[in-house]
Amino acid sequence: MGCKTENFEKSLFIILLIVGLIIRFYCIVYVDWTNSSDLNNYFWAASQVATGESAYRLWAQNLAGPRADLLPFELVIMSAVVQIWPSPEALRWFFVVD
Amino acid sequence: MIKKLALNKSYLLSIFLVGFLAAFKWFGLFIAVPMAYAYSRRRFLAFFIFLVGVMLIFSVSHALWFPDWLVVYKFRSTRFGPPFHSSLGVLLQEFGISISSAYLPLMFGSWFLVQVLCLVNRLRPSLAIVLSLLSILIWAPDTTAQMLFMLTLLVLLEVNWDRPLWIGIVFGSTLWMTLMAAAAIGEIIPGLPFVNRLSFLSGPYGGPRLAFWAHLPLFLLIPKILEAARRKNASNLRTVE
Repeated sequence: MGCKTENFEKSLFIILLIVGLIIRFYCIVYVDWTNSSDLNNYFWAASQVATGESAYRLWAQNLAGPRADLLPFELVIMSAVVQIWPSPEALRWFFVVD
Repeated sequence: MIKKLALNKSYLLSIFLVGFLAAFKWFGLFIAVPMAYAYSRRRFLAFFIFLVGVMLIFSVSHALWFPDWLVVYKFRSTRFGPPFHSSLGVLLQEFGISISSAYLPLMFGSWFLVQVLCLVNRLRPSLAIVLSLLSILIWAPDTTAQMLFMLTLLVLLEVNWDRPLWIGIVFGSTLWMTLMAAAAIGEIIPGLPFVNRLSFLSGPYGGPRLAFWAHLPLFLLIPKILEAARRKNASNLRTVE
């Protein structure tokens, strides 16, 4: 009985995970959202890091346009994504699993 | 003791994963205490080492660009204004209750209560993890319908699915919440062009009506959350411990 419940919970978790990823893919990548200001914010920050600049320093000194609030590690990963595929589209794909 | 802990792979892996999550997303920090409690099996030293390990990974991840990233914490600490999205504060304001000066005490007060209940063994760790996230995000002034959707799914993993009616009610209300959010934002979902016509029900984005629809599934789940809190020896305890 306990094993059955555990299996049910595992199956439910996997189903929710897959359905969630499909929905996220549909909403984030497939749908052509007209409001992409957030995406450009993140792309700007990741691009700064990819060129060796500190996005935080630019924000601190008010030298930056768009504003974002990312943890350093998250920013590092985003910059790695942007270095592989230098386009805001790359971040769209990344946000499916982010 | 240390040697025994070092041999416990799941313990070490969980420290790494929680630390990694905390370095990547702040919410990882909020679940560190119940995770430490679950994996330390009530051994104080193991509990302490777990939390130190998580904090160490979190701190090391901040080594880059020190102290430039302080700007983010300054920005976050003052981020209690617009945009309000679908927060509970918007809904309460409609009833004349203002919590605008109490966001931080409410967030950390309720989070602290969950940690205490977990540590005195009044909540099982898996439920404490869910409630830790809920207690922080439910009060946040910039909580969005998307965040509430994810919280609802998390809570659903903890409550008892004994009656199909509950599944129908919660999924139905979650679907409705999604439609209302889409209608309020004003975006037309491809294949569902009628959605934006529902804006007369959703009200404008950031308004009290959308806040109500966005919280509805969680409101419906309150009795089930209380029931889950009383059900200490539930099957999902085993998956954590």
